[in-house]
Amino acid sequence: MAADFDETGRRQIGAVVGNAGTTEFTFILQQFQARVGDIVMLDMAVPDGAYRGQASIYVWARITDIRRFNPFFPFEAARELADEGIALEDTVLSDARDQLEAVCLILGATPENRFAALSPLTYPVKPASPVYRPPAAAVRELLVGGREHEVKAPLGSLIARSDVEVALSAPRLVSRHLAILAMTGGGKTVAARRIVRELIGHGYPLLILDPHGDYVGLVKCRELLRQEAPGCEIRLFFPDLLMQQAGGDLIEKIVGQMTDGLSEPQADYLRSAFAGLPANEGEPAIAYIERLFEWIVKELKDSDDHHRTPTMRAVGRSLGIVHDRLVRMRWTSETMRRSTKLGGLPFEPLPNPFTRPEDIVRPGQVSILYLGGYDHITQCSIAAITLETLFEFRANLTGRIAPFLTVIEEAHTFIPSAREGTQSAVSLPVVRRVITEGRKFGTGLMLISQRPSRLDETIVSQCNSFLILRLVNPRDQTFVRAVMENLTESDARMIPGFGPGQGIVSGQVVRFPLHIRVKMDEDLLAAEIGDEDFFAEAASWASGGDAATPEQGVAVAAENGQDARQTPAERIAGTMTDKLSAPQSASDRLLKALDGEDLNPLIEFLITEYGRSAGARKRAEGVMNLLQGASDADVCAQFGVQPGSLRGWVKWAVEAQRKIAAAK
Amino acid sequence: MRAPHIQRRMLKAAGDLSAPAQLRFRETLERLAAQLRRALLETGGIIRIEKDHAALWKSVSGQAIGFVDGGLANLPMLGSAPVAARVEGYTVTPGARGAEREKFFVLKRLIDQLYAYDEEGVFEDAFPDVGALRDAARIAIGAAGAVRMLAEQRGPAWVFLRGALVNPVLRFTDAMRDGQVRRRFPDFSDTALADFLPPQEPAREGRGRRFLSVHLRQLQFLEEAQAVVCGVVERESAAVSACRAVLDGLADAPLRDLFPESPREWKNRFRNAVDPSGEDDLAGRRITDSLLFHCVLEPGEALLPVPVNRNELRRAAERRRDVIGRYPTPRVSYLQVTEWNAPLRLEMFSKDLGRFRETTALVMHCALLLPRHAFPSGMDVAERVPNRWSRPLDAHAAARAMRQTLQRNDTRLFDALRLMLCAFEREFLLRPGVYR
Repeated sequence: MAADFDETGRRQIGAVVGNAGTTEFTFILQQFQARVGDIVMLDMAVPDGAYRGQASIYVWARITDIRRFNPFFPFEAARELADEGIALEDTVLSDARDQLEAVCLILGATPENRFAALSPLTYPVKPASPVYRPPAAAVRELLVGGREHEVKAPLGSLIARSDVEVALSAPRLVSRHLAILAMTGGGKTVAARRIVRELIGHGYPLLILDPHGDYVGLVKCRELLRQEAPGCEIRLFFPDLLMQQAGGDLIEKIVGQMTDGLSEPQADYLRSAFAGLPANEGEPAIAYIERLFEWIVKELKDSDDHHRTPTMRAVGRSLGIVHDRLVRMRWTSETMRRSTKLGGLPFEPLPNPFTRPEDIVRPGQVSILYLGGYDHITQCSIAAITLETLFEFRANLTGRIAPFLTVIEEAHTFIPSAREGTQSAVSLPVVRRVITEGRKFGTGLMLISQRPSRLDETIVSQCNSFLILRLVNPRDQTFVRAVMENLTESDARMIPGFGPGQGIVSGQVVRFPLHIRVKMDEDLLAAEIGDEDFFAEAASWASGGDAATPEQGVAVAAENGQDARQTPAERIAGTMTDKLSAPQSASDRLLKALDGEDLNPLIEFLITEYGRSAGARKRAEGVMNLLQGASDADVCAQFGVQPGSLRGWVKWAVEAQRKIAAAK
Repeated sequence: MRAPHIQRRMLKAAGDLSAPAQLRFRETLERLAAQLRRALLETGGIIRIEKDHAALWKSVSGQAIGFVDGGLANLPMLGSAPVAARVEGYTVTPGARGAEREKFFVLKRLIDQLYAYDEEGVFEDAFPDVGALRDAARIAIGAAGAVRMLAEQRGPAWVFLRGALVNPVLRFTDAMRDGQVRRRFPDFSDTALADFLPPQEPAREGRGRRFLSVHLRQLQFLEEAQAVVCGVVERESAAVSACRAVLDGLADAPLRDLFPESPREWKNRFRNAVDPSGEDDLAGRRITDSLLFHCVLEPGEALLPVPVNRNELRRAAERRRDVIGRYPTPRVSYLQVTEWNAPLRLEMFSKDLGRFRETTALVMHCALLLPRHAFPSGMDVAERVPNRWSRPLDAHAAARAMRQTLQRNDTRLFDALRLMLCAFEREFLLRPGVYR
């Protein structure tokens, strides 16, 4: 059909039918003239402000649904065609009379000459009004009306109109928080990279928490990005878990989560230990735990409070486990950074956020915090400490660091919902604080998740803007409906049907909800790290590959005097558990069994045993040593017995004590 | 009886009879149907059409097929009397793709506009039989749809009219009293003649402008066309004319061995049984063609066409016999498409009898596609469009609008308003050009 444009460049595409209101209307659409998501307009006369005359306005609306049916093609005809395997076009049935009924959500009304002044429609749309497809320039003016001078972050175009660009309001984006929610493959990383690229172009400081390495590849596009933003820096950091001076709660939570949990006396003891040996600000957690462990070992030795020693040892063992896990994770992280996937990338240690925050947050710099290799508890802890520390620098108004935007990828890890165990994520209260107060201090958040239903609803609902791409999981869809106030039912129904990169953007970053197609930055594809090729790895493995053989590993370890079957973490952790192996010793068992009893009669009895026989003397002397805290190894070496003999000695001594007590 | 659904129809036909009479009706129908089927099978009066969509649609691929549906329209808020006549046309080329595959047209006129009164307005010079005026308008405008279709440069290979091909027309003449013309049947207006007749038709004067002459010309044009023109009636009527024509056409020789009585006696008995107007119990309980052939024919079977003259010369007024005598006698057949539907009545011109089988096959396969909708092409489906799109104007508003236009003394505006108000829902769908 030839395009019939009027003098303003718009084209009539249908007419309003049915009951029209101030929020929505329906119109019969000519074929092939508009799609869902398209913005349409119509002319209207409304009462003027003084109710003395009429004012001419434009009503703007977005098509939210289009229904199509062919009344000439009833069900029985369809069944006959299907049964017979014939095509409709080969019969006399009509194929051209199908009806298009478009449902529109009214966006608002503007004066005829100023599209920027969008206001709510307060007078119903007139039935039979012609509906127009406006020219692209008019739609663009509508989209940016009143925000012409704002810094923009172009994101893509309208789904229905590739000639109308959609740009987000950058100031609102960086201060009022944005959530990007989409299933895997929905295009959330592409959208996030698009936004990140625009913010890089504006030199805005960015901190990206990247658990899976989705953004580390950006460093490969450094030169490209520098052409757009001269001087910009893309820095890859690997973090270490650091301590805060007031980090008693943190260490308690970590110990509680990484182990089977702490009893109340154990938690009390840990708190007292932290108070007795406070952490230094920014001190690596592994180093601090080692210090704390030594402190507890020393306390154990010095303590004559037998009632408390089991608690102390339990805390010590827990610290050993935490230490072990942290060391393992650090080792895993190192290994991952050295892998073929990430091996060539310029990783550097994360600067201490307590002492060098300006090295992390700096205008023109993107700091990508690669959290790969750490479990989610540690990732949460690292994120919490880093984010809270940086936030404090903004909140205390010292001017130490610039405002910045934090991109939290895999946000469900950091802000899990109550169902996921809210109390376990130390990052949750930190993110909650940042999202609540961030607007004041210029610490915006961009939350990205593929499982919205696993996110903390309170936090997500405080995001002022949303970019919703394809979501199929019903729970995720329900969640999105719950947190997005202005999501219409028809929009919600579209969410599972979006293609990659298609979605709805709404909130303060745009004037009204829009159906958008996110622009794919082809030139950033180099930033894709991609998945490992396990087939290739397996093939290379079979032919030898680069992997060291077990024999080679044993030889190298042996040269270093180490057990080759142990990882570095295991070796370190081994030394700590050795120190705490005493509770399992014969001495400990003996002392525990006799805890609180008067030992003098037993010692007198042992002395009498000295003269009875050589064997009795050896046993009595060995038990005396055990009562004085000698280790199993020392006793076995001194008396030339096996550790199993010590169990018999302990049993004999305890029975003797019982008999003495009974005789008294 | 072949199936319970026929019993349902039988009960419907004889539902208000006494129980013994119902029983007799049922027995009579069963016996007659069985006998007639035997006779027709013996004489080759029944043909079988095999259902084969693939072959049928392949055989008509690339050939345009037209469907015409005429009727009357009224203004619901002012009563049920029709005020307009309309015809809709649908031409489709099976196997074709693209915008040219289908064509639609709608023609609608106020009945007043179709007749040329000395003084404008039907109420100014009313013909006493207003019903005849309306029926004549309906018949003429329906045929006009087919004329219009066939007059096109590349007309269709088949044209199917919804309704009879040749209607009884004897009543559409002057109103007489005591052998004198009391009211003259009105001439068609220039507008109507332009709509109804083929293009380039010479101007008409006098009686040539009246229905009988105009419709005769329409039928002649349809008969002369190369296309097969076929009327299809899916509604049941009280007619028994096809049964009579079948009996008249049955040769006696093959029947002699079939029934104990002579063929003549059997036929007489059959005629009386079908139309038992002489019996008290069954007075008025005719076994209609539709019911009889529903029992006679199996799905996929059709009656070979028989001539049924609906405009017998002997009944025509002497001065109109020259015209009536030229009205064609259609060939009538019944086609049983499915066991659940009443048989379709097909009417064709005698010149198209050579293409009866392929035409019947085409009708059957069309009807199989839309078993619950009106033939020809289910255009009545369009009437089921959601009312919200074309809900009739509120009666109060319509009355106000009409009063206002009357007060302006603008008869054209008044007519335009009436035409608009008696719009059918289907017109919205059939209006050309609105979709593309």
